This record gives sequence, C-alpha cells and structure tokens, in this order.
Amino acid sequence: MSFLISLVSFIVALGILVAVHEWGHFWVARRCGVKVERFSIGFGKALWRRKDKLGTEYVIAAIPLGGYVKMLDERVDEVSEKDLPHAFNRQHVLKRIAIIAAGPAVNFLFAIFALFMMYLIGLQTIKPVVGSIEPDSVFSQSNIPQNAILTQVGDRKVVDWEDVAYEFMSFIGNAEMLVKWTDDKNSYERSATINLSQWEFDPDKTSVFESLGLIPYRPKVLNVLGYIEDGSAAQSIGFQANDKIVSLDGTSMQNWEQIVGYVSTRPNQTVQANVLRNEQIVSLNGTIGSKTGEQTTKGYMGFTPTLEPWPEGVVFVHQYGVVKAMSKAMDKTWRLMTLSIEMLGKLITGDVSVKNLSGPISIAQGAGMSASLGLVYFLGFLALISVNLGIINLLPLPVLDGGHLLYYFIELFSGRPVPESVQEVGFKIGGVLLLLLMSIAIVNDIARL
Amino acid sequence: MLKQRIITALILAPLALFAILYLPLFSFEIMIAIVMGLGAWEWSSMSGMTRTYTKSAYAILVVAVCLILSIILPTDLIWYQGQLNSLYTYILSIAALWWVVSLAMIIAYPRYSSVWYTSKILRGIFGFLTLIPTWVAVVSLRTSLYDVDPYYGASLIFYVLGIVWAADIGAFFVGVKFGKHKLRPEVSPGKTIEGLMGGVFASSAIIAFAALHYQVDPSRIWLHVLVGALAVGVSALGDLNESMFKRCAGIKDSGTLLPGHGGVMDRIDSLTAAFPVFAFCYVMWMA
Repeated sequence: MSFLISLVSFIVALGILVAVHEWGHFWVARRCGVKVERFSIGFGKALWRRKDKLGTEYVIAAIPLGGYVKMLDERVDEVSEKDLPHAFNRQHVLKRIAIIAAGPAVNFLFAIFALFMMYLIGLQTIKPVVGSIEPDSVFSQSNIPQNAILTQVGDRKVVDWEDVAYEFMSFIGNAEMLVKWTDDKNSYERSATINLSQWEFDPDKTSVFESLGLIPYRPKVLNVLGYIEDGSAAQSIGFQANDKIVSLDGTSMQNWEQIVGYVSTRPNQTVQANVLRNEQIVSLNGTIGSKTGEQTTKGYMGFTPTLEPWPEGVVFVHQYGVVKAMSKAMDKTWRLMTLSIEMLGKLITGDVSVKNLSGPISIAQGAGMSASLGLVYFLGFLALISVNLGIINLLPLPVLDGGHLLYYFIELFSGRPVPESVQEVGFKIGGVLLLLLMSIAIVNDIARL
Repeated sequence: MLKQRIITALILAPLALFAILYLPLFSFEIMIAIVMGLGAWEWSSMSGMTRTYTKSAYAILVVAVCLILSIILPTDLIWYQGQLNSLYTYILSIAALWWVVSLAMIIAYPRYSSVWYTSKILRGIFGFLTLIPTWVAVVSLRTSLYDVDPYYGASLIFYVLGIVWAADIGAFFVGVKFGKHKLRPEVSPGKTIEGLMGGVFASSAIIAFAALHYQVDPSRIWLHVLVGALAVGVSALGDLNESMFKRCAGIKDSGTLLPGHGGVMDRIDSLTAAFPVFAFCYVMWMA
C-alpha cells in the first residue's frame, strides 16, 4: 500500500513539475513567435493527444520520467520558406536565452506558489526546544541547557526544527558554527560557537540532530495505553484504552521502555498484569502474542502508549495572511535555492559525499511519505523538488538547459553560434557526467532500500 | 579499406601493448619520442611547410626536445617523493592552457584565424604545444608510482586509451546498428545521435570500471568522474583541432604512413589532447 502511495504521488509530483517546467519554455516560445510543434509530458508512446488551432500537439506519454517541448527548428527538420521566421534557431540569441531560461524560472515561481499555498493553509510545526544534549557529542562542548529555545544558526533566524535542520546541513564541512538561544521567552539571547571538527554525519544512519548529539524535546511517553489493536493479544487479555500499566507479573513498571522490553522477551508466555483503571487496580491475565521477524520471534501485544501533552506554544501552526504568506514563501524559496547551490558546491569540494546523492527512488519515497502526511507537506515537498529541478537544470552541462544557455552566452560574446562540432564535445562531457552521476544516485537509492 | 584498417590495427596494437607493458623506461621514452617525431613530420605539412629539409628539421627538433628532456631528467627522478618534476608540471600546465586557447580558436574559427593562418612559425609552435606535452604526459603517467608497482603507470595509460577508444568504438558500433537520426547530415554523414549516445555509454562504462578498479574513495568519486568526462570531451577536441589545421592546409589525411588509417596524426590526434589534459588533472588533484 505504501508502495502504491509512493508510486502515485511520485507520478503526480513529477507530472506537475515537468508540466510546469515545460510550460515555461512553451509559453515564452509562443510569446517570442516560435512555432511549438509538440508539448509532451512524459516520453515514449502517446496515451492521449490533442491539437490546437496554432498547430501545437499536446501529448501525455507513457514514461512519466520527463517531458519536452518540440519547437520548429531547421537543425532538426525541414522547414518551409514561410515558416522560417517561426523557427527556433532563427530567433535572436536573447530570445533563445529567454525561452530556455523560462523552464527553470517557472520552477522557482512554482515553488513560491506551492509554499504560498502551504502558508495560507497552515502547517503544523514544532519550536526548536532542546530536549537533551548527549555527553561526548559535538554539542556537549556548548553550555546550551535543557529546554533552551534555539533562535539562530549561523546568521539566519530559525523558528522550527525544519529550519534548524536546513541550517545545520549548510554547515557541513565548516570548521565552526554559531548558535544562539534563549532560556525562555523573556530572557535575552545567548550564543555559543560550536567546533565542528569532530562532526561526522552520515544521513543514511542518523538524523542531523543525532549526529551532533542534540536531542529535540519530545513529550514523555506515559504508561497509559492509547490504542488497542483489533484482534490483538492485548485485546484478548482485556486491556483497554486509558489503562495505566502498574506492574507485569508483579514487577513494577517505571516507564514504557521497560514494558516493551518485558513483553518482547516473552513471546507466547502467560502474563499477569495490574492496571490502574478509573482509579482502581484491575488484575488481567492472558497470553502474550508474538511477531516473527527475520531471525527472532518477539513478544507482541498490539497496544500503543499515550504521550504527555505538549507544553503550551511548542507546537504551533505556520499560517499567515496573503501578504505575509507571499513574503514568507519568497524568503523560503530563496533559501532553498541558495541552500541547493551551497550543497552542490560542497559536493564538488568533497565536503558532502556523493553517497548522499538521491535518485528517483528516494524522491518517490519522499513523495509518498509527504503525501501520506497531508496536502501541506506534499506542497512543501513539491517546492523543494521544484527548486532542485530548476537549479540542476541550470548547471552549465550540455544536455541540460544550463548547457544551452552556456552556448548562447558564448554566442552573445563571440557574435556567432558555437560550432556544432564544439557543441558535440560539450554533449559528450555532459552526457558522461550526467549518466555517471545518475548511476551513482540510483545505486545509492538501492543501497538505502 | 576496412580490411586493411583492421590488419594495420592488428599489427600495431600488440606492438603498443608490448611497449607500454614491458619496454624499459628509457627505451619507452625513445619510442614515444619517435612516434611524436612521425606526428611532427605530418604536422609540418599541416603547417604549410613543403620542403623536405624544413619538414625533417621540424620533426628532428621535436624528437630532440623529447630526448634532451629524457637525458637531463633520469626516469627515476621524474617523480620525486610523490611530486612530479616541476619542469614537467610546467609543461603540462602550458598544455592545459593551450587546449583552452585551441577551444577558443575552434569556436571563433574562421574569425581571428588571420592572426595565425599565414604564419608557418606560429602553426609550427602549435604543433610543439600539441606533441611535446603529449610525450611528457605519457612518460609521466608511465613512471607514476613505478617503484611501488611497475604496472600501475601502464594501467593509467590503458585507462586514458580506454576512455578515448571506447568513445570511438561505442559510437561506431551503436551508430551502425541503431543509427537513425543524423547529427549533421551535410558535414559528417556517418555520425548519428544514437552513435553519440553509444560513445557516451561506452566511455562511462570504462570510467565506472576504473572507479572500481582503483577503489576510488567515495569522497573523490566526483573528481574521478569529472576528470574522466573531461578526457572524453577533450579527446574530441584534439580531433577538431587537427581538422582545423588540416582544413587550413587543404589536406584530408595527415599522411599515408598507416595503411587504411591515413597518417599517424589521424590516429593520435584525440590522444594528443586527452593525455596532456588527463595527466595535468592527475598531477594536480589525483596523484
């Protein structure tokens, strides 16, 4: 099921982003008087097609991994005398630059739009309150106390954990990092400079917070039951929601971890439980269920605990009026753009390993995960991927939009199109680079599964 | 023609293989110098030299420079404590710069070509910049880590040859089998988009294989891929560079030395760009 959600949200996400990107090329091409022969979302066999008055054919094709806009071009096909002024290659180089640049540009505009919608609808998020700092970790050198609220990382303000994660990430490979915090709302800001030389971060294994030894505040897990699975061992023993587990087989249970540990080591054994129900101790008897994993069989009950309620103001909703939402969306898009470029730079300098490159499978999983959390999260995810798509497409690699732009800028200076023979050299370099980087990304994806 | 071409290749390939793997280093230096000399002989015609004694003098000069270099710098001192000799490093840097200039010349051609078009001396110097760094590059790669593993340098040479030839061979076979869409029908009718992609695939495969073979560290894979891709591209540039000079001189094949292949330069034109640029990157970032 989660596979199906991933697949569908991936296709929807990619479809939207490709359509948006190609529409940018298409719209500006039309404005510039270039004849567009086909506007295709997806490659390969056409599933649906339609023609408009201007002779453009709209196609939805079978392989949803991209799309294209086919413009009239003398280099590709025969062009009749009367159509010559409408051929792409006959346009002034500035017009060609505009048409090519429009694709990535629209990706950025779309990101602003998606984030704008997200801020209008409202997004629930969590204030960066420090839960604890692990001993002997990168953060243990700082004097940040428990319950401190992070306010700034580097020279950027942070309001929630997502901001903090992004800003921490931008410090990969740096020597030190400035962090500011307050004790509570009224006290003044303090700051600490964290030495990052001991920081080792492998995104496959740990979260960015764990790698630094900074544990976000989470409400305590209580011994009070929340949900009882239908048909589970817990149900047949007679557990009910809101029961507080006091002891199992006479051993008193201090916390939830202890309960989990006790149950999982006793598959298919009988158990006697004392629970507090309506302020009275009730004794329950029955047999613990089991779940067979790859190697071991573990005891399994089929109940979940409840959490202590979040303190006032820690969970809050990002929701703004039209003007504020727009300015927030623009700020965030800009930050995503600069962050993507910083990360690419770190990839080239080797501060970020190519192991962290993600390919289509990871994107699909991200799409599925965010979609299952709800529309607002999916919008945020779309904005992120849209920005990435725009930035990647602007890389000066022939084959990509940025490669074409590079050729046109050279033409702007040399006054003459880059010879096709030289373009071919560029396509070879770009082709090899892209093919190998994509292979690395896909291999990484598979290794992560 | 194709048969002749294959026979020539079948004779030359084992010779080259033997020379790269087993020839003592000094003999290897001399042999590569002779190949550069043959290339220089042909380059002299492309530079507009016509009289036999000027052409011979030019070829001998190239061989002499290579030999002088090999005499003043013994093979065991080419790399000293993991560093390439500074003279050789300079030569490779100049070569890298020359290929940037060459790219600009090709893009601008025929604009500004009047500057060098009429000057035999300038065109002769371009030949120097093409051939001597190639010798330096091949020798530097061959002697790299020689005292650790005498075949390591040979493997680097095979790697560059692999990248360059895989591009050609992949393009040829994929082009023949699947070629449908012509790249530039009026200029080079044999080339197709499918062929171009075949070449890209084949070279990528070699680069990926090398990454596994040399056990490139994940943090340096990016560099490995970049340098590999650069070698693929720059080898095509070597081809274009030679074509440009041939066009100036109004000749088709650089010579007739290799039956079925044209001249020596026609065979090594890609390599004269790929070797110096690869060696430069190797010395700067990878050694």
